[in-house]
Amino acid sequence: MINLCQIIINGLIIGAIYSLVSSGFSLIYSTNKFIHFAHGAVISFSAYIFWMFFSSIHFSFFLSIFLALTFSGCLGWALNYFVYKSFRKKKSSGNIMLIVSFGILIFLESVIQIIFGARVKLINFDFLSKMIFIFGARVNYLQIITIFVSILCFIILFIFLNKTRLGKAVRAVSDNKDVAEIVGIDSEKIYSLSFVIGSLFAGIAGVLIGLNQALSISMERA
Amino acid sequence: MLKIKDLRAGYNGDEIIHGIDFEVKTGEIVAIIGPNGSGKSTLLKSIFNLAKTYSGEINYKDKDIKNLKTFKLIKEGICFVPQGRQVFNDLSVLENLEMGAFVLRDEELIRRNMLDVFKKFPILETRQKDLAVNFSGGQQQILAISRVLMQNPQLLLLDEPSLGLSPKAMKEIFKKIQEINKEGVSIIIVEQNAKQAVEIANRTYVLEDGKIALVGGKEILKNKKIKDIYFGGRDD
Repeated sequence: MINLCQIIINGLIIGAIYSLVSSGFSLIYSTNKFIHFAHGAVISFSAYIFWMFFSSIHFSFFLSIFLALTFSGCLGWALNYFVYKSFRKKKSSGNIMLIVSFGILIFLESVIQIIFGARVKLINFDFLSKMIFIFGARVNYLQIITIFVSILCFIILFIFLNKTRLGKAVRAVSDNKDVAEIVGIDSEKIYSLSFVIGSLFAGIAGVLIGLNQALSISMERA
Repeated sequence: MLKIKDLRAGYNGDEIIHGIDFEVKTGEIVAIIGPNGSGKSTLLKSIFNLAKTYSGEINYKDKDIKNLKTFKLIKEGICFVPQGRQVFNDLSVLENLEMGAFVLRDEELIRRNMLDVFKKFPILETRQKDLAVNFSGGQQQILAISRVLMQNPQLLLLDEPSLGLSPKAMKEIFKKIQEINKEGVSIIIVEQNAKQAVEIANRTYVLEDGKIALVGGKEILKNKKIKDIYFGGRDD
């Protein structure tokens, strides 16, 4: 019984991380209609940025999280604005965009290696490692926070997409971009917004993964 | 209201409209008819900045609107309904209407427009929570037209509103177009269904190879050229 509880809780924790990564990924995919492979590199980059501010520069925990998330959102915006937008203007096909996203993935991994080096990094925050027992299963605070944050992000995203004017515009663009433009929705702004939100989610996942495991250049592939 | 002078327009460097002069007066319904590929939709799209304008003038209320961005055109009161019953399939009826009013900021105005649309088309109120994809062709066209009514149009551009509809739905759509016009909205309608379009229009332009071949009123249906194009030379 204890083993079963442990397996369920471990599954929930992994599922929570996956849901964070995939909700950002699918938001970008649904509006932009191509697979943004570099999404994984945004996860790694934000984890490294969090490590830099928290473990290397020794900023406070929450300030480091804030800076890492700000960075990931800005990185998503920059990738769209400086790279994908120009390919969209040339009416590049989904296949070309896919290859471009592979290129960005390799580029970002190389940048991480140049800035932070190839050695594995660890983020130590003892408070989050404290264990509690739920129906006999061992769970630490970080894992509980991971599940809580994931559910919270999912609810916020759901409310944004279904209850706000801008969120509905995101859904409208992902449904029919041409009609969305005819009713006055600026699809470029929506692409940009979906990259920022999607990358923000990747950033949250990066911070949580970084707190949970060692940082390595291709950690997002694990 | 709308004056077009010597317009040349098209796509990707190809000129489809070759120097057209065109006019719509306030409160008018103007029909544009012609064979496939004559440039009817391109003319409509060039007014709404969806086709490239190479030269000429497009003046709306004495203001040059050539190359004006979509949201600015909507704010000026020019609204476009594309062909093919284009709605947001995965959004509910209510959300489709809300998206129609995307450029508006006045919540009270949006609410009033919504009530007005529901009054005109009670089915939209009854089925406001249904997804648009579950609507029939005629209902989707009604939704597409209602969506632009949320924008307070003064000049409505309709691109083949009867395309693919049953005769009954077609009749209903044309009836609604006339009702909208009676409220003071000027309408440009591009149609393949020449007879219906000419009958509701104050004036009809016949396009051929990107040029205006004929202009006239309801009597235009008796013209030999129209009979040849649409009715195979017959009188019906």
